[in-house]
Amino acid sequence: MNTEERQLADLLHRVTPEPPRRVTVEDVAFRLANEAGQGRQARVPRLREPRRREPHRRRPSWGRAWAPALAAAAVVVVAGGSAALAVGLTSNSHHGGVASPGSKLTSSSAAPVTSSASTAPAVIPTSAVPIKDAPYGAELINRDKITPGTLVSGDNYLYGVEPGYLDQIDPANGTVVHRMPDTAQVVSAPVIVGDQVWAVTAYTSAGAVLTGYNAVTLTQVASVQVPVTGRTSFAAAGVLAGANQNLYLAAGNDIAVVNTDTHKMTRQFVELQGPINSLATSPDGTRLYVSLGNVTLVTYELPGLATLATSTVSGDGAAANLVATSGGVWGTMATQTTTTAWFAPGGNLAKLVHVGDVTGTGAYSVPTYGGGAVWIGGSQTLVCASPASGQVLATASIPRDGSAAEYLGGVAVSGSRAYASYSTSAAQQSGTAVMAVPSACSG
Amino acid sequence: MDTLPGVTRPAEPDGFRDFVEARSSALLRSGWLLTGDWPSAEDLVQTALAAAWPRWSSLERPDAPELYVRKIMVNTFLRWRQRRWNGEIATGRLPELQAYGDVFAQVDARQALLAALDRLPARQRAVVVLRYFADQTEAQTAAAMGCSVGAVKSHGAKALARLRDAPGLAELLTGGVAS
Repeated sequence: MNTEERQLADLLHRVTPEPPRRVTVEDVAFRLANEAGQGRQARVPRLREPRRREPHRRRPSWGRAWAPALAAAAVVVVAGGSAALAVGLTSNSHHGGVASPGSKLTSSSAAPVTSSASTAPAVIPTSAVPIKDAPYGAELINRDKITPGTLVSGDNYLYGVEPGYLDQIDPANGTVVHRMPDTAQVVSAPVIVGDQVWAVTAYTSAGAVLTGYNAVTLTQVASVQVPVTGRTSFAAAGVLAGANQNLYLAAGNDIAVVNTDTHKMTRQFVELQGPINSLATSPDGTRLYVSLGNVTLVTYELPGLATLATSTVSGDGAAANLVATSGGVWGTMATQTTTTAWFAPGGNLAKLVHVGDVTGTGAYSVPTYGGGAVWIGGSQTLVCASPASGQVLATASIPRDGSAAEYLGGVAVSGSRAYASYSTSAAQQSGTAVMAVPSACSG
Repeated sequence: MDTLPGVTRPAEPDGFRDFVEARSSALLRSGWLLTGDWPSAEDLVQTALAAAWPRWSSLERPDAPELYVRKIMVNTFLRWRQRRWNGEIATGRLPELQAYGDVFAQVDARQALLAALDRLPARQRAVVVLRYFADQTEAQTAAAMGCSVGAVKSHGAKALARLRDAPGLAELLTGGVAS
């Protein structure tokens, strides 16, 4: 390089600003899901059969241990693959919920549909793999890469989103009991309402689709189309909430209300200068919290949707992944370089305090509420906090795998055990971890 | 068995998350220099990463992922410019929302830089970003753009000549504003 070239290089590095926010893997996964939903599949190779976990390929010890079971399950796998193919074809033919490219959805509902869930092949080991130095005796019980913050606990099962898929997981051994049919792409965290599990399966400015599944069989029971006004949230995981048989969806500048009994959109009101980044309902079903912009939090009364309060906080972040508890609202703040977790007592952003890792670790920082405590993970600490006061009840260090960070977060609690998403880049392993709930965090 | 309808996304490749977390900021800054605004830059980076996702596992060299993603970014940018340009030439830009330090000087510098880059044809702009911002060699730049090293040199020389005459850029080149 000559002097002039060096000066130009210096200028480019000096003047080019830092981006207001970073691109995340979830953004990319969301984009892939949308492209798939719109039929833009040319860049993504198709799989030859329903995707399944393959721990035995990367971890020979697991594979050897499960060789007999694999052999015995071979017939089941082949049969399952064929069944899933049939399901895919059937579902695809009447899956009216996905917006066609460029089309604007206008209808609010579709006739209830029923389709079979695919049964996941039984290749998951029953013996857990200890995570060295992990808090609360955490052990890896499967290799499912559940998106942190999407793992929720139902009456008998855990539900989580592995990019694009909704998994029903047996908490006893980590086995994926059912996986949603492969014709839709789950982009939001699942929401359990009664005996149904709902998720957003398409989410673009052309429209959104909510899909309901039977909580036990994971068969599809309904598909509801929702129009979207304006831009959609940058963090789709936290755009759906449920209370009182209703679902609430952040639909661009609007909030859509869908009745889970009738499978109809009952209301969509325009009041906000969106896009709405996230929303959450309080545990008692009397409040709906909505975040938008940089950064406003609006509190509505339910079910009337009267505005109760509005608060703002200045800054360069965007609030998302809201979780509501008795004491207030939790969420993440995505800034130029980090995503951190926060708590706003009473839903008042003027009282906002940050919780958990100071540096932030993306999706692993997403707060979750389970077992009477709010959990916030990351790469440094796993924190549980009081849902009423926001006070940190216990903090545990997350180990490092040599020079590589380990990530633990997105906790769901079932009984006396907590389940979390775990990842480490050094060993290139990810999965669901199970650990004991410390007494301080048991509510 | 034929491919399944609707199965469109493979599992997250190993190392993909680390790369995105480590390099998305740099990629976005390159995208900003190419496109001139953050929404388009984000669109460009996401498009490139989404396209790279399915082939991630086959990239073996340590530097391969970044080169590969930048290649997709540049080619996507060139394709967009071919398809989207409609004769409109931007004459003004909204000031950046976030700025620290000497706010006005920074905004002026960014506007001058983007205005100068806007004067360049797409391929010259791509060479400037790859060679002088992404610090890629001439050979790497040529590989990313699918052209010869000689073409890269030619584009670079022409770009420098145009930038030399861009209003307000000469003083920035010899010193000026810190970000």
